[in-house]
Amino acid sequence: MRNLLWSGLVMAVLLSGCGWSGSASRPNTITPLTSITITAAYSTIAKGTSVKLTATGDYSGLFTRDISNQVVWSSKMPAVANFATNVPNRVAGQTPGSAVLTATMGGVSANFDLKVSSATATTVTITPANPSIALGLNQQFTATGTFSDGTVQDITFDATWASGNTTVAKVSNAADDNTGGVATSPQESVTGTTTITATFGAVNGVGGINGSTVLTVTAPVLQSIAVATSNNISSVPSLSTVSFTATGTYSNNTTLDITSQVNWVSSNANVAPAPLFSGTLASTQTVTQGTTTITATLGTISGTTTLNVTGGNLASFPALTNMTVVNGTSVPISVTGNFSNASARDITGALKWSIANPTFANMTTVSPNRLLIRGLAPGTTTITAASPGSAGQISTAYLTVTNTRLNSFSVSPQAGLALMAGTSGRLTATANFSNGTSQDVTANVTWGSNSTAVATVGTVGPTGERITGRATGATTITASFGNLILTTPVPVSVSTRTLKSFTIIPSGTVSVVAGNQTSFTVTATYNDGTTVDITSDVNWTTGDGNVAILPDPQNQPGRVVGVGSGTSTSLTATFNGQTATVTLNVQ
Amino acid sequence: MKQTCRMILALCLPLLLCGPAWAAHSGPYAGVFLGGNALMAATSNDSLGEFDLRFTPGLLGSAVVGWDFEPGNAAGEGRIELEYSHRINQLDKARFADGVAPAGGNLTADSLLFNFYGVFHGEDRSWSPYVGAGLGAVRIVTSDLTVTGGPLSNDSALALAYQLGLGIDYALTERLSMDLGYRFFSSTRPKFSEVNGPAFKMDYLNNSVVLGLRVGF
Repeated sequence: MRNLLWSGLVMAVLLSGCGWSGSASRPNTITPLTSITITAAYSTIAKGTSVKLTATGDYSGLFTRDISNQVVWSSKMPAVANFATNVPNRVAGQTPGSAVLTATMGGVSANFDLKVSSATATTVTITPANPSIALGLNQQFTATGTFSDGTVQDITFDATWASGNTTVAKVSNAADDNTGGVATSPQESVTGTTTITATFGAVNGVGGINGSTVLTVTAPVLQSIAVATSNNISSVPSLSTVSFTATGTYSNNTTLDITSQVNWVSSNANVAPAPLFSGTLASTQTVTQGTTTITATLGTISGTTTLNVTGGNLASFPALTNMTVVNGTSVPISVTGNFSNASARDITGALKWSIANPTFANMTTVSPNRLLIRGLAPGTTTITAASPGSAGQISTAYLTVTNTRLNSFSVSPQAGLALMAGTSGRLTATANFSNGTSQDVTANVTWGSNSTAVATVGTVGPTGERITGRATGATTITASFGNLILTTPVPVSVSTRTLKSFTIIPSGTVSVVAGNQTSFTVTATYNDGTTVDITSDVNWTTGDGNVAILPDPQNQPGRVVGVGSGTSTSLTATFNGQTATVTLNVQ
Repeated sequence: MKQTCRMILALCLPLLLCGPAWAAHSGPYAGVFLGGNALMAATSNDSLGEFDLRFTPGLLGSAVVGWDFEPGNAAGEGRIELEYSHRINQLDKARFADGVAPAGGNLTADSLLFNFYGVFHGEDRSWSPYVGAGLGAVRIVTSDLTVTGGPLSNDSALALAYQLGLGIDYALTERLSMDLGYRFFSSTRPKFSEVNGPAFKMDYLNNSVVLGLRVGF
């Protein structure tokens, strides 16, 4: 009970709100204006020149405010000095004499005594002298007049401006304070020089005193750099390759891809080292989870983007085992990594691979996570896989390329494939060699279809050669390897039925761990009740690449890796113009 | 003076804490309260931007009619009541982008709330703590609000209101009890027209301490 009472009292004190919080943005338009003060750069001006007046309002002694644009300006002697119409607080001397100028607002007024002299201009000077600007930029010039009575006055507003070469730059003659005397070199201008002239005291364009300077317009200069990832995502799993582009915006509003010209820096090399340029993009491979800022710099201009790396840090991957490959054939290799957040995913494409003696074997990257080792000459060498980062894991194994004679080869399934039009199946080829060994040679077999109108052969994937049914009918698939030809071609029948529906499995809302790979399949149901696995035939997409990605849709269709934990997105399969969707919640 | 107050407190506190335990009243009751209230600095907005109004602490008066639930009631021990309250605060200062300016005028709030309080009765004591909340409506009036003598607002607005409260009931007799409590009172942002400008919305967040008497029937 005592605690309850004290809680109440403390709450009352806390909520009593004795002080201000935040900051106010509204001007005080309520406190009455009590006086006005008028100031000007000159109290005497030469005939034909002008001066800008400033009215400062005092509000009950609490604060002051520039009210030059709010007061009503008037001259008691307009024949001597009168206000311009386009700039209400600029007054021009008409004839020599004295004038009383008044500013009035809300019943409060103030006067300013201005004298107009009969002095005449003796010289006009333009500043800055001989400037240079980049194409697309502007230059404000100021004209200063020296008068016969020794006074010096800013006559920028009163002079007539001209550019000798308007293809290089134009100069504004507008009678307002913001654009008068401003030289511009718009995008359509050319580089070069032009003479800028300010003339004062001309009558109908004749006579007067002028001053001039030379303006040089140079090539456009870089104003800003925009850095973006190639697919506009900001979150990726660790051990991912991320590509960046740098687009420069120049002073003439043109843009240029300057990816190859900029200096790339990463604020946290442990998360991702600085991108390196190759080809058309600058790429880096993420290492550990965290955040880094990628900066592209050219000269003094920089642009940045933030890269968020998720999915845990690589803890280990299984040691490579010794391998044997028959000379002239290829075998796939695959590695799954274990990460600090208890996730696991295929890292084949993320490891740095090397073969000690490349005359014996080479490696080919077919897709992001599909790597083939091909025997080139009999012999034994070593193959090494290394994970990125300064503390990366390295694993080495022996790779033996054997020279043995091909005895026979067979294709599975021998009974062939029964496909629906638009769907595909897989064939695998196994070779038997004279040394008693056998090897999957699907990737080395030359495949063909006797009727491409019925079925076509596609790419080789982890589960075999892809055969796609095109139209109702029957055909055979031929295969040859080395000097052998498959004696009995594989029969393929293709039928056509109406697609009723298809479903992603698992369905509904599926939780995935950031960095973990999760596989989905798609089962189609046709009008006769037939069901077919069409996982390889649908087009897979995720709603937001910052939440979940498809690491290798070509060879690992339906495989998803979560990226942004605490977020969700959709996984969509599209087939025959229809879609099926599940929701992915990334944890 | 200080000594006199201390003596009165020293004499009264034992009486309050050690008085006879009365049976908890059930049935209808009525009561009146008086107290002080402090309005938190009110953040306000109009089309020109954000400004703040600060008020001096003011008085609070309220009247209630309600029903005490029977002890052991299945709905819980406590009471439900209808409360009318009147709060008044004087505008002290206004803060704009140009700085703080002296201000004047009153802000009054008349509210009608349905309150529910849970009461924690004890067997051998005459005092019972309570905590509760209320919901209703408030009519807030800006009476000649001025800033540095310039008129700001003279308007009224209706708003939804709510209240959180806690305190202690002290049973003086079987039917008469004294109540010392704290109330946090707030509303949706009322909108007032300005005398020479656009309409503005302001926060209304109020803390009150009340002392009252309730009579059971």
